[in-house]
Amino acid sequence: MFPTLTRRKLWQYGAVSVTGGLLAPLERRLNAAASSKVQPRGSADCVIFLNLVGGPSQMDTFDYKPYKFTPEDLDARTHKLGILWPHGLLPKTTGILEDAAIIRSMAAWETLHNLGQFYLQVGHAFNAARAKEMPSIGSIIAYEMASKARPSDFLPPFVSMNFPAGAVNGTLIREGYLDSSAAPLTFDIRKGGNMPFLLKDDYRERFHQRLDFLHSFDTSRQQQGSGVSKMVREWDSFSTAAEKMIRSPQVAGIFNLGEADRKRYGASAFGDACLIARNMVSADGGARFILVNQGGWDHHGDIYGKTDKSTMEDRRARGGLYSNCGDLDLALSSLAADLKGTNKLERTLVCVMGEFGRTPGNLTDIKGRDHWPGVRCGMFLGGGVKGGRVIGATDDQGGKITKFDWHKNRPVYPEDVTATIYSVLGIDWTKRLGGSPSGREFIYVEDMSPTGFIGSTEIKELFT
Amino acid sequence: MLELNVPYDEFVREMITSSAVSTWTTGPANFVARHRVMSGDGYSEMNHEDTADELAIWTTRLFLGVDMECVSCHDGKGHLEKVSLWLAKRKRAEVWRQAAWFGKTYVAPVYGRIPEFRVNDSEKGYSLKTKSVTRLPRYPADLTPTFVLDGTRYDARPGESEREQYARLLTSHSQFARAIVNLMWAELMGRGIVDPPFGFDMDRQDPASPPPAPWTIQPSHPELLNALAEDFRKHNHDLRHLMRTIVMSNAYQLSSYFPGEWKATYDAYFARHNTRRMSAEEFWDAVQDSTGVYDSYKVKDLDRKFKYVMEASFNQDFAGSHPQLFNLLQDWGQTDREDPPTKRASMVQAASLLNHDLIQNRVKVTKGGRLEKLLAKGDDELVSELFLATISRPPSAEEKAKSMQLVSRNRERGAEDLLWALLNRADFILVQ
Repeated sequence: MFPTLTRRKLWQYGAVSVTGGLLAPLERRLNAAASSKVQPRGSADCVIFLNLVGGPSQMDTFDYKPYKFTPEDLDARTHKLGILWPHGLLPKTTGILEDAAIIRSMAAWETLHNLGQFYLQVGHAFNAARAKEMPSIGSIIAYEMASKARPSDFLPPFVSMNFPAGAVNGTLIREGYLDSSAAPLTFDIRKGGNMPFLLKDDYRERFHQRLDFLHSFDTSRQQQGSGVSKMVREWDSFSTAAEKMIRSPQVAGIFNLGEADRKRYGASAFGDACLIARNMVSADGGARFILVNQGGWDHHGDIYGKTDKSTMEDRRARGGLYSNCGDLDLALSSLAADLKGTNKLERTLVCVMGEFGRTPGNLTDIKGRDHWPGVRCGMFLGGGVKGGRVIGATDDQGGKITKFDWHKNRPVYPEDVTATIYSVLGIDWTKRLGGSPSGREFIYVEDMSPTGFIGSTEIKELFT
Repeated sequence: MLELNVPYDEFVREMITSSAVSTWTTGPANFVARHRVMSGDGYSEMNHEDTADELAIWTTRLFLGVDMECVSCHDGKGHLEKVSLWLAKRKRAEVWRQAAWFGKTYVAPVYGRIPEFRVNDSEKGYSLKTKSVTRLPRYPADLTPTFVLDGTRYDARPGESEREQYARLLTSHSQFARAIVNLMWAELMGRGIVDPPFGFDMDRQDPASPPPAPWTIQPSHPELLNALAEDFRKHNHDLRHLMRTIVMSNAYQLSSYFPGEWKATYDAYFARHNTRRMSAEEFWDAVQDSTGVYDSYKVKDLDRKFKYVMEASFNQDFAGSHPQLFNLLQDWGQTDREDPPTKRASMVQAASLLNHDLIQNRVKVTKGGRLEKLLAKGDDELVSELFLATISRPPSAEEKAKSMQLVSRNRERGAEDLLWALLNRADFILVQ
């Protein structure tokens, strides 16, 4: 006989699940140790990270430094906060500067996209011997947040949208050696789309009938106990979570995007993803780290677009920075305004940055800029960040940091950004996890030199 | 290799030693070409010593199961004591001496950015003058080509180049057969006798001389590993024979369900079958085969279309023509085959089986599809055939009763629902 009440049935009847969260941990907690001299801030419930994949050109955007090649229509104006700003590229973003802190004294360790992206997503250097076992920031957050999960959650803690994976950018870094409950929910709404969470109205009833049938029919998931293989338990956990998400009455509010909203956010794949991120925060459905990726920032050539002015009606059609900044400007400014308007910004940290900056001075012979780890820029809003400020300064071409402007008196590295993200979510960034296949501890954020001479820390200046 | 049943040692010797005027016409030389490291503009200029280092690391990893990546940047001492006894004793210079077997190997693009390469033996030897673009600076050391497992040095036999001697030493060493039988075992069983299969610790292999405590012998079944290796060598490095031996074993035939209390420490003993998820390509092709509804995929630069995505040479082949499928397969862990694909499960994979447009359309009664054909037959046959087409076994009496009941209510709709449910069973997507 089939067992009459399985774990899947429990879901169906709406019984309280054991752990509360959408994805239940399958394995016992790993041995953890924290040296804990640090006081995590705990000033946010959620982090939205806008990942500008490819490396934006700092001197044309957040650290605007006009040079002889800079086109007139970048239209530099001095904002009332005294910030020189490229109005031609990021006009709407000026509206959120009073809530934003810009760091101009950031740098990167890497000059290749895949290695830089690994650093940005994990907060650690790529290491061929350990890369596979290292969990990304989002997965560490998911692991940490498991204890705070609620039965009402219908989203997993780690969500990633539109990562432009490939040989150049590398891949989205996932849960490493952590268990499946730390895995990201990924989807891609660029060309073609792939978003199987939304039920069509005329299919809802039949879908539920199908599920009812499946639950009693899938004998391969009905065996219980430790004798069931881990992969089966993982699959069942993912499938149960997917079902719960698809069935949730709130999910439509996240993925059904109104045309007016879409237009405000730029009606681009990036804008749509930012709108979904906003909806996820409003719904309070359990998402804690939402990674929204925007490819195309790798402007080795035609950084100022094509000169053809016939397509000026929408500047984004000109390519280069006009396209990327155009999408970013509408999405970022609308996201920040909406979060502020709903009082969600106070408890949501928004970070905007890429993996490195771009070469200062002359353009290359194909009218672009190459990779430059020496300077990159980041923007931070919400989650306790004190806005209206610029931290750090660079020389007149934006190629060299001249003023660090924070207590470490050195560039801000990916480690420090990672520590800041953990801190606002109340996570001790010095924690160490055991149990990795290599036998080495995974330290959430490591000091950049083994002696601690260059120690990593949160960027407290953002908050004071 | 399997199709032609080339002996594995011959296949490896060819990859290590091949030269080519163009890798487009001499296939085996692509092995050397793909591990090139470029410097300068990233396209035309090869960094010779870095390339030789990569070839040393990859040949040792793939063909001997020993990973020297760690000691390619620093000595093992002070770093790897807790990871590997053997690696902790290794010095960086031993990687360079292993790389020196490729000291004369030359790789260069034939025409700039086009991925076509020339491979020959015209270089002057492994030099310390080149600045590494991937690793820490090198320092003076003895650079005579030396086989890292047993210290055999280059002996300049007449008619045998450095690469040829290396290929001979490597393929005749006992670890060569042990590494491949373990890798094949791991591929089929989900876990190696030494696991991970590229993580051999050479100081923990011999049960007759066990390592000092707390270390233990590394293979879970050292005698089995050696016996499989011996049998593989006796059968002329025949991979088909090896695969047949493993899949015919009692261990392989076990169920993935263990009817008792299971502890994590049992994993190494193969007392139940390890479950694996189908790869992205296997998944989609299985959906096509199960539903009998096929598409056709064009391969870039070829004037041919294929029925299965497995036949595409590169995932981008159908990114333009089938963007939805491309995105779906990305979520199932498909890569461009530069990086290994992931077979890890995820929420979006489960969601796509439940509710993706592409799956929804596949389970509908379609002209020429499996459902249309089966609907012409009796309920009994319809149900049995659908089970066979999806989870490769006939239904149990109870499953049959449930399925017949579903189909009897509304034949067409019931058959669609049954097919959907079969595709959503865990044992469709998991190989158990």
